Amino acid sequence: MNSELIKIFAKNRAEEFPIDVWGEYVLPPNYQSINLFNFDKAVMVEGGRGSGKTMFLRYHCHDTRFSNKRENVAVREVRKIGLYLRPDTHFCSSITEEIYGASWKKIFSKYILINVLREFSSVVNNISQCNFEKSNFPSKSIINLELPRKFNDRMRTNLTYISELGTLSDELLAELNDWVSDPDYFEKPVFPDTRSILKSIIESFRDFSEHTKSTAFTLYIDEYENLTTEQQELINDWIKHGADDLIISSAYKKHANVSRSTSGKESLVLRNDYRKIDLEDFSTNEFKVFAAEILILKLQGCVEESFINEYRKLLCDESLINHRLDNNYSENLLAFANNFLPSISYEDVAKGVFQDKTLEKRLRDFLVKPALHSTKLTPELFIDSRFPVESILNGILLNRPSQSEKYILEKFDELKKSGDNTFYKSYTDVLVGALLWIYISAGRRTIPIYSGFDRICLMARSNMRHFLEFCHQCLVEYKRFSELSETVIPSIPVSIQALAARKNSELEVAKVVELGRWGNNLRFIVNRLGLFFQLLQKRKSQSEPEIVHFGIEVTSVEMLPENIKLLLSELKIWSVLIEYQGDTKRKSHLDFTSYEYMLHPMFSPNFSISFRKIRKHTFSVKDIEIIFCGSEDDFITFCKPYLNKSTSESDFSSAREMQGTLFDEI
Amino acid sequence: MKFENLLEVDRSKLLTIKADIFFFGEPLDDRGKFVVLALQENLSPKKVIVKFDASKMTFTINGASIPLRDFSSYLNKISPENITGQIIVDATTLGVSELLYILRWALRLELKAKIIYAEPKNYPSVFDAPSDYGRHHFNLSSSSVGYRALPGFTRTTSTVKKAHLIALLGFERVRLGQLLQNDEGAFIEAVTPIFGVPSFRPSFDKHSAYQNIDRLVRVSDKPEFCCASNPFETFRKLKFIKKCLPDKVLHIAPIGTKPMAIGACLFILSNLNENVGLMYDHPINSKGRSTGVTKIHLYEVSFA
Repeated sequence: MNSELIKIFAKNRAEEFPIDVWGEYVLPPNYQSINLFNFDKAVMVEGGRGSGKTMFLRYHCHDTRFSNKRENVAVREVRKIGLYLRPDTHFCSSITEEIYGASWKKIFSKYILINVLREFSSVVNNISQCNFEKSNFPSKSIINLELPRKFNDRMRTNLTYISELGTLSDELLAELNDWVSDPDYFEKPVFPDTRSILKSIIESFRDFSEHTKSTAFTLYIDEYENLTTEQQELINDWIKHGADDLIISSAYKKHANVSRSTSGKESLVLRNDYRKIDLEDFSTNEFKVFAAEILILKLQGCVEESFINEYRKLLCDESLINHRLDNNYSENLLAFANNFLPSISYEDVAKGVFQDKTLEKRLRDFLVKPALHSTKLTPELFIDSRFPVESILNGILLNRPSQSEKYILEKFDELKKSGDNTFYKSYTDVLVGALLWIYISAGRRTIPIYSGFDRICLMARSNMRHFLEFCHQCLVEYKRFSELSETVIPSIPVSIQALAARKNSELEVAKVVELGRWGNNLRFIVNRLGLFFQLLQKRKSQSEPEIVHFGIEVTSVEMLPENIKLLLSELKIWSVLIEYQGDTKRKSHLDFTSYEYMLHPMFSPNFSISFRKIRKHTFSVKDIEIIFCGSEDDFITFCKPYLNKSTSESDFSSAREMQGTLFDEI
Repeated sequence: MKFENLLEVDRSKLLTIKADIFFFGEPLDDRGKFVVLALQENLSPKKVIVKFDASKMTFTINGASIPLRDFSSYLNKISPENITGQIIVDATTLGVSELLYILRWALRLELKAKIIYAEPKNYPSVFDAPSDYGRHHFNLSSSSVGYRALPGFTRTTSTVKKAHLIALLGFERVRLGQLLQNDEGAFIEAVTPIFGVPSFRPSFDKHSAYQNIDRLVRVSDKPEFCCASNPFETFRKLKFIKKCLPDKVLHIAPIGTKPMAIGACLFILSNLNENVGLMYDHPINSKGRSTGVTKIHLYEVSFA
């Protein structure tokens, strides 16, 4: 394995790839239902941070569709052409009515126009170089396609061809920038109507050939949520009153507060004016296959299995998508991925406790021994390396007031004699919690449960960037410990995966601060939730193990205080929390909102907590206010009762010691 | 633009310094109070308190709400008649946005600006608890308005011809982090970090490195260094970088010390319409963000 491969995995943002993503992009598993070419009206593309929105849009845009990496491109592709626009939202943030008065609309429209003109120039360049199937479509000569008759008059330019618009747009952008910076000093640019200019260019394009006579363009606006509300409304006007020849679609972060209003009284109406697609709307199993597909694409050149190289050809072409639905295909891929990131069963992790003196000591001396009341009983009676799972479960059960030590011993002896473990079967659901307790208690920062392809997919929660960042960290760690061949990809050992999971998680937590303007607050919330769930995880009885999600005692989220609503919304937008619709039946019973929130499982290794959504904790509104906005002292006071439940009182004689314990983990 | 003086001064100098107007902001900590109180006792200049609200793009000047586009004309209106002399600008209490617009106004009127900056004795860390995070984390700002462009000082680029970011770095990881997170490499193709070395105090540079180093991995060019308390050195460093990147649009993010930010403001002002733009996140500064007062700097710049 060479450093090049590490770099390949480090690239996980669309902006790090060329604009032509042909061969670099794996179509998502639900592609047939979200193929943008199947829509004849605006589409709003939603997806979490790192869900692949930009790559998805670019796949549908002309740089990819008319890529010269493709052969025999169907001429019918010129009938629907995607244009890509990612506005410079920093620049656009100042194009507002407050600053420029009523002129802001003209300025913003001109900004859009300039960027779309550049796209038209690229379209003709790309088509002229594209390898189309044999036909009478004169693709090469499109480079000489002339601008509409009145274009030069209206734009105060002197150009002949559409292909010259690229250079023009650079000049126009500089001109606009100069003028908005210093309107008194620079000459005022012209502000022709954006849509009619674009329409005239489309007409020229339609006149070019029989194949383009009904061509429709779609302008995909990325990062739509970062435009101002008024700018979104202006674009919504264009969507509402758009024509068939230029459709405007957009992509934005799921849960972002985007406007559906227009500048008039009307609003955009779902189905009538636009369709909505969710890029992360697929099952866990679909995500696993998708992740395995991306893995083989990234590992190209490093895999010897010939079937993998064959499969790779299927990934980036919608005409081959049916081949990817085959069972054999997905089984082979998953087998490959499971071999790359092998897993360890929880039972084997339990065995590992007995092969590690420190961990075994934690079990014996810190979990079992303090729970024994009878002086006649010794911890050794409850621990036997031949029965690691049951020994660990004994540690937990002994800490439960409802269980008698005599009875447990009886059942354990029965097991040892006859191998009958019926008694333990009903308690196996606490095994993961118990393992976490032992590892946390020993102060271990890497825990083998955070490993294996399946579990990593579960932790990524349908987010490809998380998955790729984990793989990247695995390779970085692997390279630190091993010298490897250039071409063969090995299995990444569980211990390396666990270390990578921890480091990746630490990085993820550290990065939370960067997420939006409330990043500082989000960072504190993540730490506090993580530490709180860790406190619950430290309960010896594991009566409620693996709590990593919560509900709120409020009838509706709308009833929450404004600042909490805002932070909750930010946490969702940035996928720090994942929102679930919980059990709606319970709502009527308890009269609380059924929405539940899970701390994103990629943060779990940092706090040594579970990544599985098993049990819920319910916070009061006051609890949430303390966690989200309270002072450090408030938070420590809030945690204290849970701290006492989870450990013995004597462990923390003062708030200062407790604080040290809490914040050492940050 | 001419850099005339760089001095360390004391309270008595603040009391006697001559000027037509004294611009200052709301003091939030000991050093801010120290400078503002001293200059308020100085009877010579007219006192003008300025605050910029980036969320509304509006100034509050001596209590009056003034839209950004009317800023210069309002200053003209309230200035002593036939102003031709000097102004004092307290950079301890004024933010980057206020400094930029005040200095641009001074530039257009060809005035002389005496810029004051007081260094603090210390910045209290967020936690008492001993942890790496606590040791390098300070409560300097509670939140920010976010990176919002300031009209007159912004350059846009296309995703085809990207910009080069020069980040003057300080104690808050969040500031560079948010900038790069928002951009995702769409408009910025490279980053040159500038650390304030030597720092105000020997240990301070360590915090800047600790806070920003992770974020610079994979995206950054080699770091540059310039004195944390000398705006003229920052100016020269920026000038040198611009010379090395003649065809690039430069985005400058003054998110480090205030003297470095003053240097950045002066550089931007001397390169208006020259492919130099500002990236700024308008932090909402915390009360009591620092303690004590040490050196008081006086930087004199002539726009005449």
